[in-house]
Amino acid sequence: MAADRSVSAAVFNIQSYSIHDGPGIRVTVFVKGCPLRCVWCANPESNLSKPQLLCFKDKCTACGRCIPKCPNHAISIKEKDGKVYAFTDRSLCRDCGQCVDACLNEAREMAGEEMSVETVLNRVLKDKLFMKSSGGGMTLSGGEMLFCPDFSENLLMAAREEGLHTAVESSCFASRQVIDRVFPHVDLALCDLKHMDSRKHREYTGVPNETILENIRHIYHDLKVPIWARVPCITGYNDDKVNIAATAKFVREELGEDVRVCLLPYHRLGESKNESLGKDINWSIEIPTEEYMLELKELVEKYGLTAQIGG
Amino acid sequence: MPTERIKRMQAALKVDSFPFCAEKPKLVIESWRQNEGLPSILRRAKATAHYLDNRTIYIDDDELICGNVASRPMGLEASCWGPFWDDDDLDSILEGGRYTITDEDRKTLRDLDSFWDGQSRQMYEWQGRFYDDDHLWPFIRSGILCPPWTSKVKGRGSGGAGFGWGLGIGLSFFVPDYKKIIDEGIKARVDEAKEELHKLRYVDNDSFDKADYLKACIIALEAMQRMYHRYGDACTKKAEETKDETRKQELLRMADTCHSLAENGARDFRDAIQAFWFYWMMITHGTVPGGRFDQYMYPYYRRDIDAGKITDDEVLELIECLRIKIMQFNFVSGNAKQRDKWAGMARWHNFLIGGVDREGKDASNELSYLVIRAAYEVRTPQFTITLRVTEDTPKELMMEALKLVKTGLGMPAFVSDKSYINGLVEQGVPLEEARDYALAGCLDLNLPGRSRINALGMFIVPKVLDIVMHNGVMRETGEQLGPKTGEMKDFRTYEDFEKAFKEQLYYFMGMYNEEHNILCRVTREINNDVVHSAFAYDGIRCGRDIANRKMPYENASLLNPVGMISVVNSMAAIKYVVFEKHLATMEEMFNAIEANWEGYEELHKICEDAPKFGNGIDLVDDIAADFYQFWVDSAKTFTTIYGEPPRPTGISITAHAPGGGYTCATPDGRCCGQTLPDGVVSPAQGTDTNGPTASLSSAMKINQDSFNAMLLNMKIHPSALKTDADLEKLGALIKTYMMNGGKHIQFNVVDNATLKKAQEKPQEYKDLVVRVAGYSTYFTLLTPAVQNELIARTENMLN
Repeated sequence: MAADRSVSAAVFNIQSYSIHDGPGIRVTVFVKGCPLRCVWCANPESNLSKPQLLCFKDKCTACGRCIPKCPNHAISIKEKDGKVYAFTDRSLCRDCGQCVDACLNEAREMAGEEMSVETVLNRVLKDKLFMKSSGGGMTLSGGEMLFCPDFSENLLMAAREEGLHTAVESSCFASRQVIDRVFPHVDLALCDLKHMDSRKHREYTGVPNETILENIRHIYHDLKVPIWARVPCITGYNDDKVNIAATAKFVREELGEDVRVCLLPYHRLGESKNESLGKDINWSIEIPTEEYMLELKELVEKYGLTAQIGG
Repeated sequence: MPTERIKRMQAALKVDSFPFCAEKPKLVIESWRQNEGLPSILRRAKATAHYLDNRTIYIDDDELICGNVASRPMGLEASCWGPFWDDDDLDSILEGGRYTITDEDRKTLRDLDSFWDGQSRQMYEWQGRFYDDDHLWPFIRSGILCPPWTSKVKGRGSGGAGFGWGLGIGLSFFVPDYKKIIDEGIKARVDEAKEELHKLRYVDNDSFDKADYLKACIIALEAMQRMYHRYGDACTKKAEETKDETRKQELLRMADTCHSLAENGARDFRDAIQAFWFYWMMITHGTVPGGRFDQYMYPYYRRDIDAGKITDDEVLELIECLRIKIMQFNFVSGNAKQRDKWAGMARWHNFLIGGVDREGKDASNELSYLVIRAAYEVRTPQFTITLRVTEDTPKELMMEALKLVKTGLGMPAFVSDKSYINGLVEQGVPLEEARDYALAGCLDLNLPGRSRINALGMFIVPKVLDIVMHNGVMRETGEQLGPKTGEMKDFRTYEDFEKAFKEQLYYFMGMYNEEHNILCRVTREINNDVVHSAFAYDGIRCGRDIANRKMPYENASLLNPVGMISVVNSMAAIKYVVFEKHLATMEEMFNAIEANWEGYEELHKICEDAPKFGNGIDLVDDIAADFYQFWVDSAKTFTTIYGEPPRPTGISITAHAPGGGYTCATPDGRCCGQTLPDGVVSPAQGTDTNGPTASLSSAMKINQDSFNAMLLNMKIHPSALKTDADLEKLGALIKTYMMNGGKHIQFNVVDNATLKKAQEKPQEYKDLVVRVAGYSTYFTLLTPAVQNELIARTENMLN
């Protein structure tokens, strides 16, 4: 059965020359919408499935051009911390994006655009030469691509029809039925292992981990999709050696030694995004030191696994 | 790790100031005065010989390759062709203490000035003779060629300091046949000249010129032989004074090399590298290259290694000595505008490695790796390295090259054998010869000893667009500079407007070609040089100076469009905004440009958001492909004084900064005075928002093969180069570009925060090396405009 290329989803980025999301030079497609709410989320603009308005206060000159454009009267000039800017009342804003065009300073931007499989694939295929020559391909990321299974299934199928290597980056939190629809079209699964303790997993991400671990076993053993385990290392949350050891043990004993473990040190890129979404975030997570990351790498290697820092 | 010797020599490069020296002009003019009335070729040869016979020579403590650049350490010999800089300009450059001059030398230069009163030796005076008021003069003054002239008498200014031992051939991009020079030596050419002279009979017009030429060759080359012996003697003397037995032996070996090179070709690797340096100093100025260093040096390397005469470590140290030696040579232009154009102490000493041999096989060898290694250990901005990339370039060599890129030194640059060779074959060069191409300047294509470039002006294309928008009138002066192609408001279709642009462009390209012919002709009149010519293809027997003959590959004149991408983006903006989306009229666009966007902020934003080159968008990429092809096709319709068409090329050096500085606003959203896009297929600064593959995809749509160069700069954040896997992927990116129509790419690996800090505290960043449009220099030596442009260029956050 051929892919239906008319299916669409909200896509918030198509990033070319992705070199840390699987082998070779890749194009990574980021879809919006995620059932998890990880406290350290690096892409908070991907949480919801619909397009969202981002406002960059520092770029705003308070010229006021956006104010009359807003049909919901959500924008007004305010002052905060000595900065005068066009404030958007999120309780009134409907994310229609009409203010974006009015802004002359790129202080307003829409995250996410409804795009069809066809449109996305055409963008991806522009890099076909580079993907082919480097042993790369397309990576589908998010958000959570399993949250829009129709789109993901068809995009992956269509990519394969075009001869592309397909990878996904996923929390693997979905029903077995969704897993069985999507993963047969996947050449490499980059699966997140956020915490081995289900209680803590629920505390930090909003969902427990039993379904996730079960799905990962199924993907690896039954669907025979090669896996790279990705472990975000978040200081004070899951980067303790007990959890990393438990993670390595799970990979080694319940999956296989061919599963590479990628330790991804926390970075702060998500924090500035929260501000642009109008969210007040008052916490700040420390970035793990390089030395500590090396210790974690050695720890994983003790289990007879291949480990790397970064994608 | 570099040896202690190298560390000491490198430390000695860090001086607070560079002295201007007057020895060379003094000696050259001394001879010049005595030989009035002689034909130029003989008079110049005699002046060369007089300088070589009397110049100060000395041997530095640690060096293994001898041949001091100037009469004082780290000095710059002033130009011989006066008048020297006037006192105001000289004082302005001495300000800050970076350069110094002794009172005595200043007096010497002022005394020499009197000799030039009323003399017409200056290149610009010769040029000015042909700038007729009703024809070329308005064009030369307009700034379409950068920099514009302000007066026919004063022209672009004079002087400069920092030249080699010869008299030079003016502005030139030339790759010597180093193989012939090193293998056969100086005396072989002297003998050949004597034999030709012996056979010569005065039976036709040419034979008289030939006689003068051959005699001139003998005069200059014999003086070179004498100087080589003088260096030999100086080494011996130094050896006698030295207590250190190891050093004594080194000096005696160097003495033997110098004496031998005066009479023979090189016997081993040490001879070969010394022969290279001597000849390089004879011909050098700011743009003299090293050719295919890993090729012509390889037979010596192989033989010595096989014979156990030398080790890889010793070869590495010698190449490092050469890097340091080249850093002792500096150059400063004698005119503030020219200094802007050549931002920093701009020099281009391009050494090529890799590529294919004459049979088409991968030619890389152990020396290719050692050349990279030397730059890795001795991170000086010169000499620069360019890796010729082929289908078969070994992965290991690519990785070594990328590890050097990762240091942020800005080298090597990568060029495509496929595109360069295709281009040459297309121009009629036999395949085997085409495979031996090399680059002078940053990217200027030549065949070693078989070609030379004498004219390479910077044509600021956006100036022409402004003239099109004003119906052929140059708005700054109100002059009708070009044909009347219509008022902007009257264009009804995009196609009509494009047609008008092409008509104007072609018109000014014709004048550009004429200006280049004047330059070629002037070079031929006043810059004959037997030191270059004798070693060129058929250089003795043909009996002619290289500026006075057609070369086997004739590329004397290059037509070079600067800022074309700004025009391409502007045309795309007009097409998209006015004719496709109907968001503004031509009249509104015109008024907005006239007002430098003031009061037209909405339209300004719309134009900024219009499709931009470098993002893989067909609408704009197609215009780029078409305009560059138009440039190629138009060039073919002109003729140079050598009877061949001028060749299209694409480098901007740093002319995009001053060129933009005097260019009004453009429809791409650029404001008045803003720097133009750098390079030639580089996206405009900050507009390549879709990442490096999109930039390259746009560039690959252009027929680059037909251009003699096509420069693409890409700035890369260190985060993209952390692991070997990252480097491999960058390697794959480069190779894909090179195999699919790309010609050149170079990387700037440095983060913006560092650059900003360097602007604030230049003294703390003296070591910071960056690459601007084809050459490396220290960041702190760049003009503020170029610094800002570097910072503005999109960082490709490849995470």
